[in-house]
Amino acid sequence: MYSNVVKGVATLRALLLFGLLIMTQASANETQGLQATEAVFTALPEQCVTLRQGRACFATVELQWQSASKYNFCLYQEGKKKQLGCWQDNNHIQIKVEFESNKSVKYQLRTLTDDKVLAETQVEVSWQHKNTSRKRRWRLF
Amino acid sequence: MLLKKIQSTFPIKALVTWLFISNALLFSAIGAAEEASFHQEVSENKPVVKDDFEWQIILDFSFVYDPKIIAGIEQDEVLHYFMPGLLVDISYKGFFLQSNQRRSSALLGGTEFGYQLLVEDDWQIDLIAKAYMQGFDSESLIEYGGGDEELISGLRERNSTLGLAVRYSKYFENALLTLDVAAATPGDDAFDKNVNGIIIDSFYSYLIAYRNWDIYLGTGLTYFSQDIVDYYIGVSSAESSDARPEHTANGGFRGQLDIYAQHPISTSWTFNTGVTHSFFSNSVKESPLVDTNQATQVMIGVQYVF
Repeated sequence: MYSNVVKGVATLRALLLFGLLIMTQASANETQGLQATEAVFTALPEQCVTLRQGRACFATVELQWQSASKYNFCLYQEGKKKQLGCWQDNNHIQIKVEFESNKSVKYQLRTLTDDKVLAETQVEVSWQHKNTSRKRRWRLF
Repeated sequence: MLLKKIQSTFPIKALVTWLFISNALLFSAIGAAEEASFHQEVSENKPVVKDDFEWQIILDFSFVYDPKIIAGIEQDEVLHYFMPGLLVDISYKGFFLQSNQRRSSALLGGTEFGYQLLVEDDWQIDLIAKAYMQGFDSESLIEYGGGDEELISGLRERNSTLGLAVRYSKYFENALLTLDVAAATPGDDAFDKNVNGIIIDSFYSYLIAYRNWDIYLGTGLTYFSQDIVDYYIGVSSAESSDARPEHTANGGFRGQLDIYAQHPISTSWTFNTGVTHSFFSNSVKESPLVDTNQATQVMIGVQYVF
């Protein structure tokens, strides 16, 4: 009988501990989320649409970033070494870049000193017509 | 009113026939494709395989300025300009139903039902069935507006000309040349005699891709044999009056220049616009029914892509 009670208490403890761990983790995620939302990096438009799959999409994209803290940083297009711009002791940028790609592109803000990614955002490329083998001929009237 | 307009461009009989053929093909192809393994036979001798199962449905909402060369006819009401359309494209094992996406309205106007006979890398030969010319009747023309009523009233109805053609297509880097040789018939004339003729239709289209725009420059030259032209703009003894003396028309040509542009608005909506200028042989002006041998059509609208 006693051993059953001990077992029950132990199980209850384990459950509480597990619950506490989950709550702690959730709380940590929330904190991270707050930190993440503290610095807002957006791209407008978020999506670039082409007529046909595989074709390069063109757009003038406005990138905007705002943070509570000031940093020395550069703006990069992911996969390219050359920076699109650099800023010193700044916590807010607004820049227009010419977008030309047939696939989605990520933009990153990286610190000048250690190349750490401060924030990133993405412009997605979508299309209306799937690229098919069908060759067509259309005529207006 | 709209129904009459549609009837004028496509007589009901022809429309029903086309709808039947289209739907039969559409549903049989969909049914067959569900069971298909999508296997295609590829051999070294045939580098390009025939089209597999593909489909596309587009809703078209366009405004079209569409004057006729007949007796000064042009739209005189706002509703006449609005020409919505349902564009269905489907292909399966070489068979295809192909709409003319640059063209609004007329429900099936410009839709081609075909079979790919021979498909190579940069050319192909198809068998095609399509309406090569639109029909008209006097009541619809009068209602369409602007024309000389006395000249038009009492004319027998002209059907659309349906043709069976062999089409040769040649593909270039950013261009396409097609040549149709068609045996065509609009049906019976005023004396119940079946009218048959030849239509030779050529078209060259060049694509300029500028940023997200597709801009097509096109030019075409079409020959219509005498029987076909006479069916439309000839005046038989049964139709002649003081306003329209009897007339037998000659065969003739139609030249066309067009420019068409398309730009995506979102993943489902596209903006499109185009202008086509057509000029017919001078001899068409000899017909008492014909007001001019040139016409410019303008289209602007949006399409919803499913």
